[in-house]
Amino acid sequence: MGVLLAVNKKIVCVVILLCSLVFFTACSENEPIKLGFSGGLTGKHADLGLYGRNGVLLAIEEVNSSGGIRGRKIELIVKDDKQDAATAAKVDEELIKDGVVAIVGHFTSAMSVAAVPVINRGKVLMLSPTTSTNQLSGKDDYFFRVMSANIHVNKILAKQVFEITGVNKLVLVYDDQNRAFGKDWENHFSKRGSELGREVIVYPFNTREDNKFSELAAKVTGNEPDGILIVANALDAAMFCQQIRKAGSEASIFTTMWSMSNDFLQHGGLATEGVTFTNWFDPKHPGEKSISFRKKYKERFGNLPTFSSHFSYEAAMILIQALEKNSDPSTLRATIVEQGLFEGTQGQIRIDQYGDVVRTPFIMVVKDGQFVRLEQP
Amino acid sequence: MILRSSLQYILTRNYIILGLLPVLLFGTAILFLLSTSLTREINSKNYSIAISIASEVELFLKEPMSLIQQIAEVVSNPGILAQNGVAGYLETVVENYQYFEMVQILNGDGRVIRIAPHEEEYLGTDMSRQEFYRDTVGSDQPSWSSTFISMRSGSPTLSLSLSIDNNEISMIVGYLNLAFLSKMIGKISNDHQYVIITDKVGTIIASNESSRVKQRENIGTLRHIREAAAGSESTFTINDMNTRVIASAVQVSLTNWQVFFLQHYDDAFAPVTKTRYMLFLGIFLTGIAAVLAAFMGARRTSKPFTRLVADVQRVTEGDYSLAAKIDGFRELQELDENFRKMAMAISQREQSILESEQVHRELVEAIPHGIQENDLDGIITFTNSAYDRIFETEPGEAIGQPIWKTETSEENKIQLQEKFQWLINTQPVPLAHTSKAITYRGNHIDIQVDWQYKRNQSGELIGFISVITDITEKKSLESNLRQAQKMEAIGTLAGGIAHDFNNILSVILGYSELIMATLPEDSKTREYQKHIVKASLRARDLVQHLLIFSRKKEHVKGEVDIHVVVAEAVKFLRATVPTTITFELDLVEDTGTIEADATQIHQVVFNLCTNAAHAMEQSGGVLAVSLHPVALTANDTNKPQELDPGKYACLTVGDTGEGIDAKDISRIFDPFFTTKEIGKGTGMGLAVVHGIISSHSGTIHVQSEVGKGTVFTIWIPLIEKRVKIEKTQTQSISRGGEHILIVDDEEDIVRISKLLLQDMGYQVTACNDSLKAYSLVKEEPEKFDMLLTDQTMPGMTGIDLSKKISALRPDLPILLCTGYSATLTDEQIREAGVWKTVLKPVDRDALLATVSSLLSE
Repeated sequence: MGVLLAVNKKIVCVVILLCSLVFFTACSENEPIKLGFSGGLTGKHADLGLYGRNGVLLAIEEVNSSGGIRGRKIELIVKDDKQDAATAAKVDEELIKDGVVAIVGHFTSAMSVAAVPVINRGKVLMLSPTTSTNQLSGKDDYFFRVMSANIHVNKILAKQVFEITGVNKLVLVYDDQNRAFGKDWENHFSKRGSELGREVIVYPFNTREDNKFSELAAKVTGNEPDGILIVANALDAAMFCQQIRKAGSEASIFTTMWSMSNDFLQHGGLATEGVTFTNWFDPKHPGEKSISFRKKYKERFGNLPTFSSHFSYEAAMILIQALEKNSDPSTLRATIVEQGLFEGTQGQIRIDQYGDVVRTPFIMVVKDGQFVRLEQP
Repeated sequence: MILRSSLQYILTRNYIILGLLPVLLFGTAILFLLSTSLTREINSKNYSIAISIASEVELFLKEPMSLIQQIAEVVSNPGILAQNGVAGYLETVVENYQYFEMVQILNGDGRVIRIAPHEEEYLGTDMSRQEFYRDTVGSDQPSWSSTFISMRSGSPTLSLSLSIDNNEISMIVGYLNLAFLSKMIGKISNDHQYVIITDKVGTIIASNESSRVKQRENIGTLRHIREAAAGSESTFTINDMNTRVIASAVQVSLTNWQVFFLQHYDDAFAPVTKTRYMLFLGIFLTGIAAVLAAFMGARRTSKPFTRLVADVQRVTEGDYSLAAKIDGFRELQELDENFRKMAMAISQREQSILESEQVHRELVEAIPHGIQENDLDGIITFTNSAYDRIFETEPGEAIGQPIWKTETSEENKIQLQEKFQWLINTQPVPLAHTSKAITYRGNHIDIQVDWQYKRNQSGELIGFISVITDITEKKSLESNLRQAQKMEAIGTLAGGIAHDFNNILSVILGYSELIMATLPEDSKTREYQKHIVKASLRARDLVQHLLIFSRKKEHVKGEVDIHVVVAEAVKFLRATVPTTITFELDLVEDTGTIEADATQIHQVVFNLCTNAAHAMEQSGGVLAVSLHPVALTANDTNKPQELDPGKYACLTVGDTGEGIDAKDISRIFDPFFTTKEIGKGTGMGLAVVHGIISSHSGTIHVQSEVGKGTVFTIWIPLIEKRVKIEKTQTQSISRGGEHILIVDDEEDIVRISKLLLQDMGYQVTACNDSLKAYSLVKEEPEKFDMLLTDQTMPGMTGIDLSKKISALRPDLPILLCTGYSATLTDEQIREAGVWKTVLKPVDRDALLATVSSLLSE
């Protein structure tokens, strides 16, 4: 009887095995690594986020197509912060709850400032491609970035505005929706202006409440400035440029890297000619990596990448490299700091212990509808 | 042994494979065919839908295109409308045709000169660097831009622009309401299917998910979509929004847009999935059915085998009563039949083996020798009943015991163990040996051990077989035989020398007495001569005792004065008993006569006294012998029960030795029972005593106390007739002058006898030859008055001579002198006509007395 039972057991095992083979042939794939993305994807502020998302997507698609990280694919969870502080905090919490290993974002300083308490609480690394506010510099927290703090560009643009161009009366308009960014400029220029004995008039504006740039332009030009610094996104900056010129002002226009995209050039038309701004990013960088990235991006998304695309791609790549080194998300921060030096699309990026980087900024100018790097005198 | 899979397992497995494999193969084939055809069908259906949507989109696009051309027509001919009429016209158009959210008219610089709905803000803005402007300017065809963010709304938008060759107006731009497009496709979207339209670079411009449009999601470069755009594949499966979908793509030729019709894969292939599940269920059920069928079928197939295995098992266990099977299949039946025959053959063979074994067993049990088998550890594994008897064990008691258990000492045990190991190691040729052993009940025995090696089939030593013979009795008999032979030798020696010795003694005695007769009474020489005579008589007695001891005397019962015999025996014993033992004699001379063989009575005394002496050998003591007559009445308390009332001679022999154990008392008269050391006693002494006393109608009792001593008491019936050997008075010897013929081959004896008798006044004729003596008598039969003859003579013995002479003269007294009478019975003497016999050497007085008495008769 014992023998018969044993035979039966064997047979049952064989049958179950056969059935299992038929039923569960494709159930053994590794769980994907979840990576969060949060940035503005809709509205006028969406250019940074959209171009940034594409940069991240490109990085992830590259890694996934070559087998993922140690056999695990990366799944990007994309959230739209709608350029709203409350939404930014909310989507980050959602991402943390989803179990992301890190978040690429946010793209504007105001959103990042709003997100930092959330990520510190959740102990999830946030690597921002484009946040540059001085407010987040030198902090031992979970906020890292691949963009330099404003202070460097503040300085060289102030020099360009006051010392090289010789502006005596500067009107500074900034988007109050990204106050953390705008305030850096206001603070530095006000300080520097008073130091140099120049007049600096500041106009914050809020596109949500008031998008009549013609009125703002009238206000600004009414001061008859010889220099205007626009701290706004590409679309708003382009529109404001058009309105300033429409108002007949010949003042030199300066803007920030925030505005630096094709949309600015296209929508700004001839009004953008001669607009001067600072950047760490050269859209025509001759480096091999940069050219290759631009090519890949164009192939994938049909247009050229912006600095946001570059920096987002770099941020994603830094995270991927760190995860390949050590897949434990809790040690991600330490792994990045330990490595310190990463290859970017336009040269090496050195990340310090606070997760800050220092890039060398330079002056660019719009010439014949193109961004042209102005060689330093 | 490697355990292979059972038949039932193999059959069941094969059944399952046979049952499941076709189902699996056919099922997979059906599934494949079904999937393929369904895919084809779905693809074709979806593709058709996609085509129709694309056509619809194209239709939809044609309207704004004709509208923009109409606008161009209107605004190019300002004559048609009033100056401000253009603005109004545009407002009307935007209001009425919702697919344009905004319409702009650009001047030659690319600046906005008209805008509807009207927004002051945008008038005058420079559009010259917009992509659509650069793409369209100078072209006569309307052109669709790719998606861009509307400066006005911040949302993605598309423009349809038409270049006009006019002085004031360069271009008319209509901004398409993408929401309208989404709304259009929303109608055919539901939970299972949806439509996506992308612009020429792949950015989504219409989707039921508005965020995808707003976020300018670009799917254009995904591999399948690129391939679809290139026209290589129209229907494919992709993951969209983390869901597997079947996508059919069709290009809108007007704008190079892509229209995707997407259907959820699970929904599309629900029939395939259902079929697959059904198939799985089928496989599962078939599997179970196959298992059951296989199990039952295999059981039916393997049942006869299983039964056969059971039969084999039964045969293995010794059960040969196998019944013929009628089920199963032919080959198995034949196998079964042959197996039954085989089992019967085995059974018969086994039976004969058993019988043979039984015979051997009985043989082993029957033989009087112990058989012992033991293993290499020296542990006994078999014994027969003879073994159990020899070693006094219960049957089987010895099994499991070591062979050295029966050794007599610890030292011997160790020696045997060492020897046992040596035997195992060196395996010499087996040699029988004898040894002493102790039985399981503690008795000492002598054994002979014949042993052999016990080996298995391959010749490997596995133990020993020993045949053990109890040689205790044999040893004892050997000892007795030796004793008997010794006695025989002494007897022969004694007998042999007795004759000559007596003759020598006769000469010494004779001449001594002759010398004494010639000497005066007070002569000193006579005194010396007396000692010679006394010593000669003692020597004569000693010879007599030797002859008795050596049993050269015939055991013939006669009237015996018991006192004489006892006294004689004691006297003889004294010489042999150590001086540490004191004799205490209380022998009543007139005890009486018994009918007995004097020699045997002598032996009784001798044996009892010897035992007593042995008992006191170490410590010394008193050996008391008493003899007195007793008259036992019926009521006498001292009377042994077995005796009748009457007169008895009561003989006691007591010692002050060790005494006899109470347990041994009852066995002391058993033959061969002895407590003496080996070699000191035969164990026959008391048995002989008992036998002798019994044959004399007497009885023997023993009283003993350990440490104090033992007393044997013997009662022998007395008889009335009393024989009193009269002491011959030398003084009364008659000197009659009768003629006596003396015959003896010994000249000295003839001479002494002649001198003695002549001294006494007899006329003597001496003769050395018996034949001559006979002839003398024959010549003159009446010449002699008496014949004195020796027995042992050459030519004719004394008896023969007596016979012949008594035939001549029956009245002639014949006196036969002999060295010992062992060879002559009373019967022979009587028949020969011998009147009396005397033992040599005969002292003077005895001779004269006898001669005198015979002559007087």
